[in-house]
Amino acid sequence: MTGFSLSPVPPSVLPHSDAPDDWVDRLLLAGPGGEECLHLGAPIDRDALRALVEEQSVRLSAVGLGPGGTVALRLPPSLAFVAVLLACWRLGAQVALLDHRLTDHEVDAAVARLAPQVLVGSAHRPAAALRGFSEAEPVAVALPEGRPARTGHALVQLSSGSTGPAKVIARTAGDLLRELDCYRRLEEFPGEGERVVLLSSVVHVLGLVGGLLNGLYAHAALTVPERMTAAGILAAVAGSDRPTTVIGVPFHAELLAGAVTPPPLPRLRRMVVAGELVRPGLPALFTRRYGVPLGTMYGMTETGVIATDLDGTLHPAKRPVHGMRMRLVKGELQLGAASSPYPGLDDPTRWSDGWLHTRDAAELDGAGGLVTVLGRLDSQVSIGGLKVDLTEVEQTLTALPEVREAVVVFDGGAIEAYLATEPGADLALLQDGLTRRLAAYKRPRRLALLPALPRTATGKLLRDPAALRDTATAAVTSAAAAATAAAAR
Amino acid sequence: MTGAPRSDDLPDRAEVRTMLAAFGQRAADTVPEELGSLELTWLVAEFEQRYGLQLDLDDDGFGAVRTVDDATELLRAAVLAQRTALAQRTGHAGHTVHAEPAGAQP
Repeated sequence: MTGFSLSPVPPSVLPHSDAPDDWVDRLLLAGPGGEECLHLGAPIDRDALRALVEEQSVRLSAVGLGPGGTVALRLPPSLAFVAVLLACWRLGAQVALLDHRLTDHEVDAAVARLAPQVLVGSAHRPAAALRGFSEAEPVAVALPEGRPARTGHALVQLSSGSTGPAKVIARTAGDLLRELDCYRRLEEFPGEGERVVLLSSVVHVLGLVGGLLNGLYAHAALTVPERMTAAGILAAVAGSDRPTTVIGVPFHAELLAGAVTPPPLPRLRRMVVAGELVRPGLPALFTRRYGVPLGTMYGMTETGVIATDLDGTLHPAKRPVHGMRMRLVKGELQLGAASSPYPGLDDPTRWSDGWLHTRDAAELDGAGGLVTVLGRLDSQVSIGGLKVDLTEVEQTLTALPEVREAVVVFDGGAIEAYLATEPGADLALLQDGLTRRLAAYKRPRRLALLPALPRTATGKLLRDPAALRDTATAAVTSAAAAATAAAAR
Repeated sequence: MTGAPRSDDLPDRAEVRTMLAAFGQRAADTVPEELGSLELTWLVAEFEQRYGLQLDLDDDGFGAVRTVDDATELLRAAVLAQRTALAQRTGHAGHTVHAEPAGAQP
């Protein structure tokens, strides 16, 4: 596959028109019928997957989905998710993926924003704690207010938004194929006859393209562990004689590095993680435990994989993937991209003049062509590889009736919120309100109520985590002293 | 069936904090009181490894954990429930289940 460039399609054409005809059938589903392609609790071969996709195609057609149509999937990682996604694409539709962990409030907002013609959910709320995949029964519902695709994108994803509502990120089928071609060119990335144990969610870019789509495209069988504990993951890795690569986020590498007596895993080739920076010391710890490298990748929802260090020999630097153009502007990494991945958003601070602004600080090694990512330049943080914009959390809190002002910070790997509330505000009520509005991974781990938020000398809200914590501690001490004094009177 | 499975070998709050400190190789006194789902997953793995069990945790129980105390209570109860179930199956009560660490079970 050659000839694809980043987002090359003008947005006015039908979805999938920049990819070869029948690309899902020819490039993802084709292959020997008896070849195992997925393992979610039980092996699934290509014949079985094709039959499941066909069954879902019939059901989705029956609710009116067709070329140029739009559909939103709210399904947990599951065989049903795979079959429905491929069926929707096969029908020529534009697919929006909604994380199944989003609250009803967030899904309603996403549906209002995206206006899909069909919403596919699960007939029952699947159990999710510690599970790598669920048993989901897809139910497709036609939405009368839905609108057909207005752009040529095949995939629409939502990212936690810096201005409150989620940001819409879209990719064409041609761009997904370009990314798959990048993976194919990486010798160390799983290919034909190999196997991937996938720990990242197939609803997000790493698990979706690097795991699921690459597995189908490159004929590398994909296994998702039933249980996402160290024992469950190791059991999945040990369950095959094929050369195996584990793909996940740094937390999964921490989990595996913490296993005291792992079984012998002679077929384990490497683990590859992405989604956030890797803690110094973790690659060496992982390699001591398993005798194989902990590789890293850098990517973003907008483009998929950007740079890799699959052998862990360049750490913390990475080599850009095939065709990736990079430059630094005032310390920010920018990527060559022919068109904006943000439909309906005209924001030159995110994309302008053929360059995508990553909002990541980086260093480029001109001679070696390597890139080292240093961290975010904005308010986005990563919780277990899931991106959360602190501004979205702050605005959601401020919208609660009891909250006058809120400051949300990230410290020690956790989100913390400091709130100035109306008199008599109840912490439990606030937490309930937040639970209805924000997915669990976005919610602050610590909520502190203060009479007033501390400010700098110039009147700006203070955002230093240590100073905020001191203020909260002082407020609690002072409240306790007042209570004691009142009791003594 | 007499007696209940023993619980005196189960970790208390201080020991749970020490387990959490191993996540990211932190000092025990820097472990915050509030827990996230990643830390809870880490703790489940530690408990399973230590007691050679596979713990059954439902979504509601998992989602309700906010603090080290909540996690200690939930995981101690889960281990005891597993022991009770095992004891009932084998006809022995008040008996510690010893098994290979879960990490060694392929």
